[in-house]
Amino acid sequence: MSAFLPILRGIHGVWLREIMRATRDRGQLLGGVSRPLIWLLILGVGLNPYFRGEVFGEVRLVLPYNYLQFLFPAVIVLNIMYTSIQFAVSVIWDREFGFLREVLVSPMPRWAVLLGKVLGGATAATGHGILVLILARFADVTLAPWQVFQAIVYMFMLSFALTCFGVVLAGKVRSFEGFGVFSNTVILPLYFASSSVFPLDPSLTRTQLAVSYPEWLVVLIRSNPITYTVDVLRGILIGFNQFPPYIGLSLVAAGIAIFFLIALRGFGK
Amino acid sequence: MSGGWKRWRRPILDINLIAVLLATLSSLPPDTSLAERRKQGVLRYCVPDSKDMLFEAERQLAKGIARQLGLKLQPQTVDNMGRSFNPRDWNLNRSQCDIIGGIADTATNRNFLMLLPNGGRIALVRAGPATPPPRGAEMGVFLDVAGLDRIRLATYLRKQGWRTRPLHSQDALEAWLTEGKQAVLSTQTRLPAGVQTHSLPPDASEVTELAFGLWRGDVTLIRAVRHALEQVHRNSDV
Repeated sequence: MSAFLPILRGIHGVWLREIMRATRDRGQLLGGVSRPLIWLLILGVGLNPYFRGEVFGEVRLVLPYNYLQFLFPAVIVLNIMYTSIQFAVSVIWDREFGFLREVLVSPMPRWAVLLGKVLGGATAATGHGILVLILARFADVTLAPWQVFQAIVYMFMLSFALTCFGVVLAGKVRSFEGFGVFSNTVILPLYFASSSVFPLDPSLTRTQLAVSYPEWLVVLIRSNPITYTVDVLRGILIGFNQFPPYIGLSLVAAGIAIFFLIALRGFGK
Repeated sequence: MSGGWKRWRRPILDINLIAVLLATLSSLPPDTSLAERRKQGVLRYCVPDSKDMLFEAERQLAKGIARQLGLKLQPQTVDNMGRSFNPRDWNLNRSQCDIIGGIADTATNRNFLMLLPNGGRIALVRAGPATPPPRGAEMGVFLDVAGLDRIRLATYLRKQGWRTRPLHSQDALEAWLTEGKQAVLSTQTRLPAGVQTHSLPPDASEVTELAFGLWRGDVTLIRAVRHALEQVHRNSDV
């Protein structure tokens, strides 16, 4: 226990440093606000009329929700994805400016340094997800305290997995500029090919779906892990799931373990 | 301690500022559905028969909602409503109605409309003397509304061993009941004076909640109607 306490203190120190950096970075905070505003207030409101009911018995969106409600959980995931993955810039920064070397020569084990950093990134990303929850009223999403609690726990798990993924990516990229381009080519395709902005109608069979969407797109969406992670948050926030929620939860749990181990292998090398 | 506070003062201020900004923006109207109704001053309410006493309670609720919203209720009779299983045949559209009355709260209907339960219920009941008729006796069946589970009812009737007699009109039903015979009908059916109804077991019929149907996507109107409905229930206005 006494040997573990200094490690805990070290983890806390690294975590606190990441939190201080995230909260002092006004650019990052601004990004955390502008994304939900653009996606929910502009895109959501702009597209809502195209999905609304016009004739009883006819629907364009075969879901018991309006477009804003459908989009709301996806915007939270988008905010988390950006913050988590771009957090890896701090890893490149620390590597470039020698801070990482200093920390790694300390008595703290490598896994503890990585854990502190990832916990810091995941906390900041969860904070950005929570910011979007403030817009729940706008999207006509009514939230009970229990739902908010579940959502925050899930957002933290997702943030942790994605932050580890970001650290893995940072290990492959050696410059800030390169990472900016790389992260966008990862985040946006993952997000758009995840049934986050349009639904895969759960009442349709695979054959019927192929009539609405080309087979390659359906395959792409179904093989994208973000599809299932957005779906879990939809289940928590608006009570709608297109897939069994255990798939998304298992993917997030697996992501936490696998990406952390891969990130640890490359961390500080 | 004060040094620690100073260190966090700016980030806390920034985060609070952002939270206030988002909270302010969340009060913006996401559409014009309520503003349009307010401009026109009326709330169009579609019902199968606006004079039908069976919809009176629901109409009073709708009136209460309109009053809460500062609008005048404009009932619109749509004869096609309830005449077919497929709601597409009812020809109800956005330009006709703002609220649709007498809608069963079912998963299918929730795919088409936003439903706000209004406290009403519909079920199948047996009308006539308290004792059910013996096996082999005739049982009238009068189903004036669509959407009830007819297969479930048919299975139940067969199990009881009754010979069924379909009754095609309100007059035929009234004549049948006046003769002292029994009939299965919905709780929404008008009955001759003095005729009692008796509930059927769950294997014969399920109880369906009734709801107001609003067009999906009318975010501000739905929010306002939901709030007004809560107020009406709270004030026991109806």
